[in-house]
Formats: sequence, C-alpha cells, structure tokens
Amino acid sequence: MHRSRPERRRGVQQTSSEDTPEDYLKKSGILRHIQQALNDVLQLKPDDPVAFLVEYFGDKVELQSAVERARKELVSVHHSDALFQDHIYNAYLIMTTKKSSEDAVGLTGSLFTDLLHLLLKPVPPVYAERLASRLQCRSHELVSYAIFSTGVKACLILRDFLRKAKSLFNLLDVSNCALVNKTLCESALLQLQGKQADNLERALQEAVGLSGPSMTLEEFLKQAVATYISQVIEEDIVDKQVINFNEGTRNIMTRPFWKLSIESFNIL
Amino acid sequence: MATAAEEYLKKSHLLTYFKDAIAQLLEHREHNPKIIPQRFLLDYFTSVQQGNQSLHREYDYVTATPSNRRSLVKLFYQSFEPIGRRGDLLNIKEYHALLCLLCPDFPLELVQKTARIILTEDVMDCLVSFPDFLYAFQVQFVYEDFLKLCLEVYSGLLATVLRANSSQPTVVVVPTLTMSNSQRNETDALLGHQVSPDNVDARVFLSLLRDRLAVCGSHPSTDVLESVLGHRERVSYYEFITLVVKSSEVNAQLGVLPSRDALFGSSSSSAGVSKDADS
Repeated sequence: MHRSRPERRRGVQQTSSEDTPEDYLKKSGILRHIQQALNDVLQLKPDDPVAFLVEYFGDKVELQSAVERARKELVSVHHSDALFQDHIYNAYLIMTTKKSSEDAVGLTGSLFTDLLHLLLKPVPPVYAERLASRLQCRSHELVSYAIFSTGVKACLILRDFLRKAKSLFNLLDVSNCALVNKTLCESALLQLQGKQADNLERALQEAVGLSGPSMTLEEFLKQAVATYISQVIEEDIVDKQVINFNEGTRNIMTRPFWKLSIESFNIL
Repeated sequence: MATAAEEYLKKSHLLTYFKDAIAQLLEHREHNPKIIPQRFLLDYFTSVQQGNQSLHREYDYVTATPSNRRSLVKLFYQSFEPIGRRGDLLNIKEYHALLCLLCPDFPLELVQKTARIILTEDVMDCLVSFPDFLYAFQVQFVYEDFLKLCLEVYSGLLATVLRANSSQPTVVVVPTLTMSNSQRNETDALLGHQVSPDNVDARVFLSLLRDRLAVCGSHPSTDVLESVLGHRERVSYYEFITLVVKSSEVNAQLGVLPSRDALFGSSSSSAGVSKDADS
C-alpha cells in the first residue's frame, strides 16, 4: 500500500520504520511484556532470577511463533472461500495448544490482541487501532471460538475493504487529480453499504461537469472505514457485511457508466 | 525501610539488566529493523545466564554487577587459554592489551593492581605467567570492593596498634600500590624504634573484617576466610591477599575458573573450545 510519508532512509540516525524509540517501544508491546515479567519475578522471587527470565521469555517467543503460524493459516486462503472456516478452526487450535498444561486451557485476550495487530499490519495505524480496540478482549480473559472467528474475519475483511475502496476511488478519479466529486463519493459509499443511492444520476452529471465539492482519498477512506467499523458487532452482522460489500460493488459495476470505466480495471 | 521486593530487585540487579537490554535493543534495531523484541530479550538473558554478557562491552557495564565481572574473567580465560597453554610469559602491558580486546576501555590501573599482588616489585615489564595472572586478576576484579575493604581495615588496625605502642604521634606507613618492599623497609628504619610492623594480629584483623562484610558486595564467606588464614598468628596485607588468591576454596566459591591443576584440561567444560589433550 502506498504511503504518503517520506521514503525510507538508510544508514542514518533515523530508523527505517520512522518510529522514535519511545513509539517503537510502545508499539511492539515490549514494555508491557517487561512489566509483566518483572511482576511475575517479584511475586515468585526465584533463587535464580536470570534462569527464570530465560524460561519466561522462551515461552513468550514460542507463543509469538504460534501467533505467526496462526496468521499464516488465516491468510493462506481468501476469506470468501468455502474452506475458510476450516482455516479459522485450525488457527484457533494453533493458538490454544500450549506446551505447559499449567496455563489456562484456551486463548487469552493478550494473545488474541497480538494476532489482531499482526493481521492488521497492512492497514494504516489509525484504522487498525480503531478496529482492534473494538474487537479485543481483556488480557486475561479467555476468548471463545465465536469471538475469535468474528474478530479474525473482521480484520481480514477490513484489509480487503480498504484495498477495494481505494481502487474504487481511483476508478472514480477519472481526471486523475486525486479528488473526486463529493456526491459521487457518498453515493459510492452508500452503494458499498448495500443501500440505494437516489441521487446517483445527479452525482454522475456533476462529476462529468467537474462541478460541486470534492473529496480526497483520505476522507473517502475515513468515512468508508468508519461505517464499516461501526457495524462490526456480531458475527452475523460481519457476515452480512461481506454480502453487502460484494453486492454493493456488484451494483456499482452493473451501471452502464461505471461499466465503461471499469472495462479497463478489474476490481473484483 | 526497603520492602522485600526492593531488596530482591537490588540484589538481583534485574533493573540494571532490563535497562541495558532495552538500550541494546534500540541500538540493534538501527542495524536490523526486523528484530523481534521477545527474541532479543531471550537472547540477552540467555547470554547472562551463560556468563557471556560482558563480551566487547564497555567498562561501565562490565563493572555494573558481580555477574558481569565474573563474566569478564570467564571470557578472558576462555579466549586466551591457548596462550597460557603454550606457557608464554607476558608483561603487564601485554595482559592489559589482551583485556582491551574484550573490554575496549579497561583501565591499566586495575591490571597494575593485579600485578602488585603477584610481584614484589612494581615493574611494568616484569614477566608473569598466565595462571598467576589469571587467579590474581580474578580476585582483584571480582572482589575489588572486598580488597578495598581489607586494605581499609588493615590500615586502621595498623594505625591503632602504632598509636597504642607509642606516646608520640606517628606517621602510619601504609602499603600502597607504588611502594616496594625495599622502600617499606627503608621507611621502617627511618621511624627508628617505632618500627612499624608490616603485619597485624590475624584474629583481630579477621574479626574487624567480619563486622564490615555485611555491606560489602561480593566477598568470600567468613568460614573460607578463616580457613585461608589457618593457624597464622600474624599476617601482612599482601600476605593475606596472596593467600586468598592461592586458595582453592575461594576459587571454588567464585565458581568461574577450574582449579589450577585443571586449568588446561583437555575437556574445557563450558568453553566450547575443543582442544586435544596436551602431548
């Protein structure tokens, strides 16, 4: 995904991910992990604290790799595929199988959060944060399969959604000036939600005549994502989103005007 | 009154390690942005567990915890064992150069102090064998605070004895880094009748020392110190230190080096250096 931020710089003070040290420490969650580690050590006060920490972080690394394996499982097929449900189940198993049986049987909220963040990596942080905070559970809570399934699907759909919303915008941007007529955008957004847009004809005329207020890509995406996230509540709603989204785009595509421009693209 | 948790934290030096680990993580991230924090922490503490954490680290880090000091001694032994095995004799400057390969800003002064324990004359180009240096360095470096404490207690005791023995104020002659035996004898002669003894009562010295050990960081246990002194009635400062250096019990308690006769053993335990037995 193209970023509007400056290019990476190599070999200079500034790191290539452009985070300041504080940002990096916060984002990677490492301070949280260290705090947890220290709490555990101070509670137990083992004779050999270093050996304890080696084992502690060893377990954490193993759990991280479980998160990574689960992610791979989830992105290996498209979420609309009939077999996707199997993959969700496998991913859940990967996350809940633990080396030591003294831990709670099941998936903890903190691990679930790690997976969500990993799945949302391609998404701009501002949207990722909003969805993640919507979906995540408290760190020591156990996450049920239903919640796991919903959360995972919501993340993957958001990724697709953003990609398609962006290409839709680019499609609408016939004059290539990164601005699209506002009414047109709003109609498109309504279509995406599976609602009918009444003023589509007027919008098209405005667009062709290059009149009326316009919208940038960022604003378009912001609104699109806001609508999407506000509807992520229950599993069947998420499923409905999938249907709406697919139908919405299909609706747009069958209109003659769109069809002409879409000949050259293939967004589905 | 410190809480139990604070006490534990202080003793284990965990905050030192975590702060250093984070600093190292941030530094490494500049070279390798894909670094995984948990993995890094795991590697960091594993290295501390194995005693390798001091490799190529600066002096401040190497002296930050007793474990770090031990780590440097272990690394010195493992890295330069081949030199020792060959039976080479080196001078102080050369030992210092070797140490600097492991710790770039290691001060010469500490190496000189080590030499002072071994040699009677403070001569920079006097040759020292690898084992002599190694065991002396171990004590000088890991028990640095303990040695300072011994010197303090010793000088104090000496001063008290001298004051008690004379009616006039006396200049106390304290063994220093730069003083050789001949110089000391000279000073003794100058003081005339009040020959400052260059030794003290061993029992008194030990009991005074024992009282101060509680606040000293790393030190040999009191029973080991007792057995080191044995049946001696009197002891001088350097005699005492030499006894500590040569003691196999002290060495065992330090837990870093093998015993002297096993120094160049064919199976170097944790060293990972596989060398054939000497022919």
